[in-house]
Amino acid sequence: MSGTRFLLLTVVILVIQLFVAEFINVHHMLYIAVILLPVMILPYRYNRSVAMLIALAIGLLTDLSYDGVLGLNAAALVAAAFFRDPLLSLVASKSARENLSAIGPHTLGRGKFTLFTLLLYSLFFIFYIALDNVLYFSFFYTFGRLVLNVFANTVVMVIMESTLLRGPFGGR
Amino acid sequence: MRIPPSFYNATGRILLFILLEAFCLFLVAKNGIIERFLLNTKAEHLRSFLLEKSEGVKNYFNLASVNADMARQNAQLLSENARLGKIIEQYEGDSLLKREFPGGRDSLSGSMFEYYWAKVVKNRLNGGHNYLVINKGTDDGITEDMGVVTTCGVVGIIRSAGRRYSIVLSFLNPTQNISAKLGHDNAYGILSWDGKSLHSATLSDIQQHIPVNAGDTVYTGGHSALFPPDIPVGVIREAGFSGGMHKSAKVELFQDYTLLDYVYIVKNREKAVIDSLSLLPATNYTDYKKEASR
Repeated sequence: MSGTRFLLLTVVILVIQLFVAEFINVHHMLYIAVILLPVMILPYRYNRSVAMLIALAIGLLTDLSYDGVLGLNAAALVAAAFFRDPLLSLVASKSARENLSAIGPHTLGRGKFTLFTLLLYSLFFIFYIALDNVLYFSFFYTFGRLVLNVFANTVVMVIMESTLLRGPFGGR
Repeated sequence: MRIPPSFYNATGRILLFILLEAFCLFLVAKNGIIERFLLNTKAEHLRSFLLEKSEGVKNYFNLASVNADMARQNAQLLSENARLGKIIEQYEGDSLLKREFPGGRDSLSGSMFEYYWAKVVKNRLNGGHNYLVINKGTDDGITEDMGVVTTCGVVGIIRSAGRRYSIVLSFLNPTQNISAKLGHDNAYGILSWDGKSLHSATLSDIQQHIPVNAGDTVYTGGHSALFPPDIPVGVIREAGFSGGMHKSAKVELFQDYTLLDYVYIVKNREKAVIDSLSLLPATNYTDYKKEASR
């Protein structure tokens, strides 16, 4: 995926994120975070330090745009960018990773991409919920919120994968 | 022994990660609502336009003016009610004063609280940090640190006031604690959101000798200058001991925070006086005692 296409995809995802945050409120415990997608499929040629800085910029832009708590999305996205490669190594072999131009269902395969999505969302929401719930810690509530958000967002991401990533922003 | 360059790369990445996370944590701890509001004031015209347009659709056209009129009348009734309550209180207080201290002080006049109505144009209910945007600002006499209520409970506190809009830090926030009391015997406690459900809160720090039963009504305590006393907030669902010393209770809130439409901003006319008294140094009491003993 070229830099221009990635930038365009990020803008589109940000608009979708704002729309979802503003108009779709299923439950106060559920946060649909499609903004993880740009970090997830960030071109593999960028090293992790650059990926973290890009994630921070996207996160702060998201927090500023939809009047959330400044720093929440940014912290979670930075963590996702930092742990993206180690998590990827859990689902793809070293030789497969060396040949990856970008992370996506077309390069990893649908099953591995879904597993990778699930792991990355788990990490994203561990950071997000830990910061959001820091003064309300209750194990069952926090765990329930984590599970709900991870599974719901993975489903949303799989749907997006079959639309955005295979349509106008297909990375082949 | 030669240290491989990859070690420095890995260490640098970890340090950068810790640095960025610390920066984000700092922003969260600062709770960036104020900063964002200040940033947004430059784009306030566009923001106002968008908010008004989207609300116009939601208001079912002409029903908006009817609702606004009813809300205005309700605010007037609340002010009138507060004024009458104050007169009764004064009357009772003056009667007591006259009985106890014949020829005592003159009575005060007017109510302590004044109410303004406002419409909720945005209600963020997502996760642990929630807030509202209302369509009244400094042009309407709204300032920071005013309480916001409805007839069903406490909504929050004005956090930032722009010219036409204000941000209200919702009661559904980790930092919000309000003084509350049990209806039957004026037992006071602290009411705070439990962070789990939008419909429940926790009443804590109740003295252990006070009987707390399911079904008891909880009211605002009036121990702060922000909220008037005796607004029904919720009803006790279950109670128990917390930490062995005090009782705490789960309270089902009367206010449905997902349905907030019109709210009332509370202006305490005597807040400045109360605040100035609370700023007096503790030593003043000793000085006062010394003065009195002379």
